[in-house]
Amino acid sequence: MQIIEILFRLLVYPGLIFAFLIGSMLYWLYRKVRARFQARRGPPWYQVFADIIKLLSKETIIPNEGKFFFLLAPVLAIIGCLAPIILLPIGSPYATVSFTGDLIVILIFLILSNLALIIAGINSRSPYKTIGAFGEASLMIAYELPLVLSALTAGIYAGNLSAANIVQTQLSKRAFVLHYPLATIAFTLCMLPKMGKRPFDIPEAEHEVITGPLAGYSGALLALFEITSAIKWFVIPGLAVILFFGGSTNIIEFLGKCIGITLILTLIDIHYPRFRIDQSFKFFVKIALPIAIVDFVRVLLGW
Amino acid sequence: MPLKVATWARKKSPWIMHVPCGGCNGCDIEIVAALTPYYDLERFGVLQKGSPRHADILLVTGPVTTQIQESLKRIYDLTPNPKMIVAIGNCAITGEIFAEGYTFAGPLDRIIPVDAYVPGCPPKPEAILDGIVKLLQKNSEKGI
Repeated sequence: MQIIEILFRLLVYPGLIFAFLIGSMLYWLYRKVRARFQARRGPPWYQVFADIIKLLSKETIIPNEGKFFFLLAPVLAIIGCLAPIILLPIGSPYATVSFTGDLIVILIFLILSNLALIIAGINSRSPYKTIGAFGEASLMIAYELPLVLSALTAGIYAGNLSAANIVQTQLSKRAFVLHYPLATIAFTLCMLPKMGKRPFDIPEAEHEVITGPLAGYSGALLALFEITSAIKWFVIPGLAVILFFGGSTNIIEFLGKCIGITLILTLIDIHYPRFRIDQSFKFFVKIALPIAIVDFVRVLLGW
Repeated sequence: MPLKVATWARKKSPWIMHVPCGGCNGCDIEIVAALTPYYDLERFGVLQKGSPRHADILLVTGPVTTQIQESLKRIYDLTPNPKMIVAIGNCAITGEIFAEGYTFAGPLDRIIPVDAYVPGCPPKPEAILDGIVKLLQKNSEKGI
């Protein structure tokens, strides 16, 4: 019985289907808000679905060389986005599966979906894909440390590195954004490269490296990457809600908070041009990392 | 029924790639103008892509020169099916003033199959949009 329940939670609610529906609406919200800020009409609400159905209906070209890693990368990307969902307490203070230290598992799975981009990129002789992969690799070195430190700040304050426990602590006291605003800022900044958004979208820049590691993909495999990016719009803002913005007791509140974070990310995305790779690296090492460390030291000292 | 969904999705999400083939740059500028916020192609689901693997529609401009001929064939083969080719401007259709030049290898429909022609020297952005919309309507009536 429990296996059926876990499969239901993984594939239907709040897993694949639910996360994809909500994520594609948040992705559409991002595109629409960006269009309105540029004085455009913007795409209709079904745009993400139309894109994905079209890609699924097209021919999928697979090269003869490096076939294994070419097929592995999109699968890894979608697993890395989907697996954390059963560990996240979405819409209630309890997760489907919860154990001490599941926050670390969530962060590792999220790294997997970025690692998939590197695998897709270096497994090719195309210079665009290789440059995109190296951009992703160097960005990951810069942003993973502040991301993990600020996530650990929330975990250490709650006394237990478990996402469900973090939400319960926040519900009984206050949201961590009020205790640790600097860690929240560092986490929010690290979400941008995690989702491949401006100003840190160097690996997937459309105008410089023609979507980088994704340049060689077509048809159904590209659709898998599109589904991944739609799910990322749900999972990563959802993780921020759980870690810093107080979690939630019902799903409506959770989605409302997700929409708020999506709007913050969209405004940052609209307002800034793309940074160079060295500028991004310096930004994370000189600004995001120190403010994450300040709150990490504060939580260790118990202030 | 699944085919109907696919036809609908292809009509609603045409991703274009711009392939300049040795023209005078006039048509290229008009294509760029059609992509600006004033015309806002994204409301029809159009996105400009840099890789032929992502593209559904190739917008080809210019008389095809001997140098770019092979690359154009290669780009055509790299594009996944179903694909549509639109010839933009008089040069791509007939060769216009370049037709008697020694580098002329075209016109375009002698090298790759063409689905729609947009005449003009250069065609207005409205004309380019009209050509793409008519092509999409024709294809969705045929059920491609």
